[in-house]
Amino acid sequence: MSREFVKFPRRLARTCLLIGMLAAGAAFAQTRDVLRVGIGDMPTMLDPQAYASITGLRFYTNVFDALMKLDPFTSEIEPALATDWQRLSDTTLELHLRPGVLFQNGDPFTAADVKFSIERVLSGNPIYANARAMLSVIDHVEVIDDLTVRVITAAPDPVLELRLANLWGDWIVPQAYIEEHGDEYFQRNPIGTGPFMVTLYEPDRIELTVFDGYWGEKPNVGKIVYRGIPEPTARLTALVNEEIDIMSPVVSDQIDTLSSYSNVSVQCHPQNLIHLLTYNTANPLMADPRLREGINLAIDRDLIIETLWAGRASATRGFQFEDFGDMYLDDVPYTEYDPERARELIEASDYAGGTLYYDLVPGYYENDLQAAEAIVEMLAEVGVKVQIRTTTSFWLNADRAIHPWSYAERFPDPVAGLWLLFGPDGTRQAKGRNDWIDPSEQFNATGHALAGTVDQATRKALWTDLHAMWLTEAPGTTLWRSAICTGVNNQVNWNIYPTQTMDFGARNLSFKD
Amino acid sequence: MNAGSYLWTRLFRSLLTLFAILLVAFLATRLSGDPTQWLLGDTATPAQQDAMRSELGIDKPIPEQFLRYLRQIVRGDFGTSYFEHRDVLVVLGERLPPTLQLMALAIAFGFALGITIGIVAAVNHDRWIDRALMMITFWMYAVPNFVLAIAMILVFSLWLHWLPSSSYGTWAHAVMPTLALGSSYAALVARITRSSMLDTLGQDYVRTATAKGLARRVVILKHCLRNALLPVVTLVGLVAGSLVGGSVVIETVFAWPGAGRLIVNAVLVQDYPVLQVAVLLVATVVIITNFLVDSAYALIDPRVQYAR
Repeated sequence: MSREFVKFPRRLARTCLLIGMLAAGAAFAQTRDVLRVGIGDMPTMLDPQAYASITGLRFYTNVFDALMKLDPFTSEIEPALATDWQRLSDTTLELHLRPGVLFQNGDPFTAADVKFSIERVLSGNPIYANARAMLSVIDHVEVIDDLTVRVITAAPDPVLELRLANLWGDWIVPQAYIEEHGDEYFQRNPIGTGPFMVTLYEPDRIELTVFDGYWGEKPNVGKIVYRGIPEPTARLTALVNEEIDIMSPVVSDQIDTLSSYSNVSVQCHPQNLIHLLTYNTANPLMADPRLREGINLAIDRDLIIETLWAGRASATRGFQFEDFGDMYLDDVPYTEYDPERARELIEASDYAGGTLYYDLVPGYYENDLQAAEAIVEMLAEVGVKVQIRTTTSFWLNADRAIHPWSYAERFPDPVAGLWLLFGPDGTRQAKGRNDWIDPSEQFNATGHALAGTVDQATRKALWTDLHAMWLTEAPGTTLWRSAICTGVNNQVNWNIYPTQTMDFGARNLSFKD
Repeated sequence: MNAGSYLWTRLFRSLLTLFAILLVAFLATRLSGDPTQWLLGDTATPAQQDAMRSELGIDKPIPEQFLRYLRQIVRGDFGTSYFEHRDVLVVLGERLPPTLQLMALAIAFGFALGITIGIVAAVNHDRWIDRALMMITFWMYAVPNFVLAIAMILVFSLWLHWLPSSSYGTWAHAVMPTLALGSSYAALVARITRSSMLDTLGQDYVRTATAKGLARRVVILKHCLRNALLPVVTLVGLVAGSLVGGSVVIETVFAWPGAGRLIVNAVLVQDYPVLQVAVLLVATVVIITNFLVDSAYALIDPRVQYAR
């Protein structure tokens, strides 16, 4: 069949779609024509697989769909482009796809697009590295028919459904469109199956227009205009002046100012991000786990949460979020503050008073420098001498002892948390990194068992052991769960999600009279 | 030296200057850090970083990288942005027009206001109006442009609702960024115009012109101002480079989508190709501006000769 014959039905479909969109636009007035959003930084591209990042999450939910999605607050798996699914074996998941779904150029969505999207991420191209980290367990994808697809993993994977619902790798992209135009064109002119289509992409301005061929509930707004406003004060002024309707983020010292205006409100929510400290055990000064455990006990997290974060951050029960569901270890205590015990451990350790360097990139994490200054004082109280060094890279100085890090939840399970970050395939144990050079064999064996076991009760027992070992071996510590604050005009009903996703779909955006 | 030889000499010197600047920029970027951390995020393994360094060609010795880069430039290939995955010239091409527009507006505003203030102050030498204007220009020069920017946003956007607080597109969006960037420049021009005018006002030919019965306006604008303009024009060349620096701050405060912010961001994330071309472009703008300034001398004062 010639290429022209293949193109013709697509062109016809596009024409029909365009006529339909115009007719629909005339028949149904939107609740509001435009929503204006001011954000601190803009994405360098809008390819959801190549630019898997928090900045990108402000756009992707509105333009693209995944096979499944996680409820933003409960993390329950919900159908999206896949309507139902079942395990055929420990390594095979069969998914049935939603019929009648269209891409924003009028092309129909089929199983071939699923296979293409997953295999695109799994290709060796380093640009997809972040997305690939989520899906690398997948061996291949089989297309059964247009609306049925099988995902086959190389080994049993207990969390395959969660992987397919995560926000960092599972977006479905159009095979025909990308093959016709190329990856570089797609990065600037993406199309998906979501409720909005990208109609303008300039360095500091992105516009999304409602897609009337969307399979789900129609949004309550016709157009979203994103403006990049890097300066927090300018963002605040634009919100108060009603030049924009939503601003994100609101920085800590703006909360009181914004709260004093009657036309806007500040919303602060816990974020699915835990701030960490990690220790370089290759540094001889940090080699003794008793010193590291002592440091963990000497940090008064509650004090920092109350003062620096004004109570917006929160303590965690170790390396986990509440949305882990059955895997949540509710008997793990909130990280303790016990300076007496810390002093005993440090005195019993090999630490003889050398200076520990605390390296950080100022501003990379909210409140990082101020927190570091407080922690340095707290450690001095228990006899540990720490000096802050600011740097442009976490890994530049081999003699560093401590540096800040974070755990952003990809999906609610420890294999995408502690095991991903501190396991043998993660950064901490990586060869040449000089970070955590002395993990116990037991730690790694337990983690491998956790990642490959399907039985839930066994998994929970393994997770309990793994977490306890991490606390004892102490290659790092959790500090607090951070918060995200946004400013919203009082006429707008909208919430940012804990993942920092900005969802402007019908279920999360409406307007007051 | 005739004009042709003069131009060729200037061109040769300019190319040498650009080469030296490119070399310094290249070395400085290579010594400033590792872009793979920003490209791959803080969960990348050393193996992933090594693979990325190899793909970008930054694992080779620096002299080899530089030679390869020179060969690329000669072919007209200025590289691809590490982060936007697009041709650097396209990325900068999107950002440069707003910056050039802002710089041109600031220079025009600075010139117009500065020369006017300078003339009024000079012809009213030692009177209250002279002192008042010099006091005002002192403040215009001393107040940092970002402070002025925030004060204007407070007054004109938040209180009076006359102007949009940020963004780009209409004349209204350009008013506050132009004033904020151009005010210290206007103050500088005003002070230099005033002192230069005071020099010329005391010259014999001015007394002669006045004695001939010429109107005071003609004496001031034709006989004094034209002679007083040379040092003022020199300023354009001197401040062209600093205006680029100033525009970085102003672009950030007003969310003006210019090259200044792109350059700062490229520094932060070590986007070498963008940085190198940006430095070259800024240097070219400064060189061209200075060339135009030198050429303007001859127009303003025909006694000025092109000389080695």
